Amino acid sequence: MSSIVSFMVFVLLGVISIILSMLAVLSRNLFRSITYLFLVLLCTAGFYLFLNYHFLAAIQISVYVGGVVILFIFAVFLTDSNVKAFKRNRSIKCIIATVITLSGVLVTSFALLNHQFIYTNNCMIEGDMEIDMKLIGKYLIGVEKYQYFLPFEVLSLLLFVCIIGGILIAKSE
Amino acid sequence: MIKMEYYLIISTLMFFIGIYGFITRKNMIAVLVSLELMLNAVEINFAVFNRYLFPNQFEGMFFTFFGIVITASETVVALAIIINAYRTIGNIEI
Repeated sequence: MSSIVSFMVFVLLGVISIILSMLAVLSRNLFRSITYLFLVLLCTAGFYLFLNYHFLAAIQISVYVGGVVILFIFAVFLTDSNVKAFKRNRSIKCIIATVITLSGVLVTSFALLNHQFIYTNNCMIEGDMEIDMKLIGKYLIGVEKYQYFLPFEVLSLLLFVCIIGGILIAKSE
Repeated sequence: MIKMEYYLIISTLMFFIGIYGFITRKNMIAVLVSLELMLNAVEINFAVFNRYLFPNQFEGMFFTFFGIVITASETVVALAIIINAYRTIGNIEI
């Protein structure tokens, strides 16, 4: 893919993800909101592909898009909160949120654009920077410096506890 | 050529849109959706900083990986609590 085409695809992906995340936050129907979130997560997988993190893109699609979104839809069905959904409050809270958002965006992008990031090689130019799957496995199971055996095991314990906690909390009587 | 700042601007916008939704929405599931947006923006940032500034290391990538898994488990527990609250109280508006 030539450079200009990939740049255009990137811009398209960025614009779409921003618009969809605004819609996810603003839309009144909860199902639509979740669908927009789903598309935002897919766009994020596209960003990971642009960064040549293929493994992360696969994780993103399988965990978020396959798991979390389905869970959300289940929760909406079980609580049927879609029916009595939204009287959005036009009160002082909305104004406060707008002020916080705008000032946060302004401050952050000011800091971002004033700071000069120093990087020499661009992954789009340098070409194939894909991380080998074997290497990822070694880093996940290794016990040396910058290897992640302990977090990996703690994470498996966390998932186990989450399963138990989810069942216990959501169990009916 | 895609500069690093473009990614960062996108993730900044996504993060603050999430904050807006987190404050304004009343339904608890919608608040969780905004939380997902914020976490997603943070994870994009991890990956971008790793790829552009430290391309020979993998810390950001693994932080993103662990972040995704922790986000999923957090969502599971939060939704279980929401469903339980719905059973007890009858609505999930805050």
